Amino acid sequence: METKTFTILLAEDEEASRLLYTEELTEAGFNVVTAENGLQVLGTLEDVRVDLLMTDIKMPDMHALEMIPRVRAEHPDLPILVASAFKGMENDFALKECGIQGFFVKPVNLDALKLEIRRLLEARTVSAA
Amino acid sequence: MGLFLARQLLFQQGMSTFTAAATEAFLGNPLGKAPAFSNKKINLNKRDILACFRALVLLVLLVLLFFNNADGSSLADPKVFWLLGSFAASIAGMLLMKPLWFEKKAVLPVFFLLDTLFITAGIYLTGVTDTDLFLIFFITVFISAMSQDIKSVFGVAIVSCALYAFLQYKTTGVFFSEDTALLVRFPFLFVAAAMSGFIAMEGKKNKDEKSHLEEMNRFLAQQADASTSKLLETNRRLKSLLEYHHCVLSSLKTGVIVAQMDGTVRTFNAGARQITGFVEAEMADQKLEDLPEALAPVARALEVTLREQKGCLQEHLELKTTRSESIPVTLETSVLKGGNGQMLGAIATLKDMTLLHQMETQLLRAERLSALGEMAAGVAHEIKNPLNAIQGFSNRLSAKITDPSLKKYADIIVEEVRRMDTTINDVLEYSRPDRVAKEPADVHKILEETLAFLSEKLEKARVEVKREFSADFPKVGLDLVKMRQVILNLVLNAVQAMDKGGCLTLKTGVVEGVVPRADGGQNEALIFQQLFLRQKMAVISIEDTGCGIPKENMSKLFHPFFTTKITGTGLGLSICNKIISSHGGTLDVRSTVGKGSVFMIYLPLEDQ
Repeated sequence: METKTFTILLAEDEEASRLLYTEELTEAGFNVVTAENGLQVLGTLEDVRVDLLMTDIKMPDMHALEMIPRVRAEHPDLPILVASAFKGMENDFALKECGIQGFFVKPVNLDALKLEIRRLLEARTVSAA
Repeated sequence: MGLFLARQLLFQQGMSTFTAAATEAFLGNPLGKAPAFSNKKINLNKRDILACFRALVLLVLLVLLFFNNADGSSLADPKVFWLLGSFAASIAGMLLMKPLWFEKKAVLPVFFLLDTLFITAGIYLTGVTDTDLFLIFFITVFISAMSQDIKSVFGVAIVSCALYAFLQYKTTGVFFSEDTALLVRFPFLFVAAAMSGFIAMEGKKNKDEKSHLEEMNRFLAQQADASTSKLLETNRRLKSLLEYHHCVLSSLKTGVIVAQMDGTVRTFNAGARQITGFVEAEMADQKLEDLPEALAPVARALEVTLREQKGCLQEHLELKTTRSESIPVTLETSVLKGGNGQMLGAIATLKDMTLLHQMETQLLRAERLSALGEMAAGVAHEIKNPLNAIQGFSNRLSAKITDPSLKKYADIIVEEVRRMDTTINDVLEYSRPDRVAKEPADVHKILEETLAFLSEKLEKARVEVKREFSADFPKVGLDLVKMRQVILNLVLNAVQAMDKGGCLTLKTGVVEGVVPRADGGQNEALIFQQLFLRQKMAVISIEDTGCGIPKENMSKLFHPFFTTKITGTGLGLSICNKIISSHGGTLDVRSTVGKGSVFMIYLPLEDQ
């Protein structure tokens, strides 16, 4: 279990935040793949086996509400975390309906984020096993 | 006696009613004082009176004819019999005629002539000159006075004389015998005619005057009655009109002050009293320049209008009242004109604009907040993205730097970013549209949780906690997350107000119908609705013994960004108020400087 490296797909249009998450998560031992927009997310998911998706809500080409259902259609069990600068979205009904596993408001508490990612991935491994 | 009777009769008759006094006279009680039965009226018309007199003539004729010859042989004469018979028949005949006919002018003389002819015939049948039957002519003359027409009286006298002269001619061959005893009969007859005619005329005149006077009297009385009732009616209408105008004036919410041309106050209505606080009785009849200082703007405007004869309008005027507050009013003056267009004075109307101003202010605030909300959401998003990176990287810096002084700088950055984020979150919270997810919640549990969360802080601040929880406090429908935030905020505020320690009292209870007005005054429509519906409300009160809130700050308490704390954003209470409002509740506050404050959360209870 310890030897397995999880791949996290990181969708974030802001370069600084993207870099921050990448560094933080890589340091924490995750394999990080990044995407700058919604289409890249959908493309990457087709090519790479991803264990968790962490995405921004507002991206240049599409909104998370539009993207997540398309991801869900192909990967019903993929854990999805959302991080956004829109405070208040954490209670957004439509977003919850999409079936996301967690919501982080920017500025993101990175320790909490890492904890949550680990929790979700472990839970998934347990259920898969 | 006949003359007397006739006179009495002439005085009375003609009114077609014979009063008791006349009856008395008729019965030979001259000018008798009205006896006990004077109220009884005997109705005798001209026909009946005439019939009575003619019957009298008949009686006299009978008596005279009877006594003319001592043996009464005159009556044995069939001619006399027939004469008297037809006379009696004519009397009976006239009783068959309608009384109304005798009111006609021509009817009476006909009967007088008829009687004269009868008498003449009687005299003729009994031998002319040597009988005293001539005296009967006097009776007819007197009776003819009944007509109250001097012409017919003299007519009867002339006809009587002519017939008598004719009789003399028939018997003696001359019209006028030399016998003076006979001759003297003619002037006697005329004198009698003149006398009775005169008396009749006088009587008629008197009667006419009397009836004219009576008529006048009646007319005047009627006129007086009519005028009186007209006057009363006019008076009544005038009074009700006055009352009506008074009601209109006193029911107006607009203040109306009227000044006469001489500059004295004539009207100061209830509306003016309500706005200014001054009483009508003290203002009426005052000179404009003598009005209280607070009313100076009104007095000046009225003076200008009186002088320049044109109205003026002053908006946004601040008027001092007797309640020692200034209220915004709109003052308008206009010229008071009479019916003929002549200027009678000047009218000032005062409108209290307080409510309108409040509404305008609220509307402005709402607009401002809405704009602020949109802007805040946009700005927050743009700030939070870079903040995300700044906070994250400074955290990383802090973790990686080993030099303590440099590490301190990184920590400062992290801390400042956290502060910035708090501010942004408060602004967002305040400007966000309200959405509450209500669920039945145990308020006592929330309070205990809050106290537990703050236990360290409370201990440090040396705050003693008192709980006065209602034993049967029901579950309240509320948004748990938001209401926790409200209670935490209010308890924190209470603790912060007691920097030298004190007592924090948490109370719960249920009230019905009475909802005190929040000093923030943001929620009046809601309060009204609750009052109207007499809804049951849950009350959660948080009381401190802290510094209290100065009066001048009370109205600003719920305004966003209003704060007296060095580090506060000034959004805490306004957010609390907003959350409570979106629950359909009210946040009320009472405070005394130096003694402490109490914040009361009123939340509507569902009907159970």
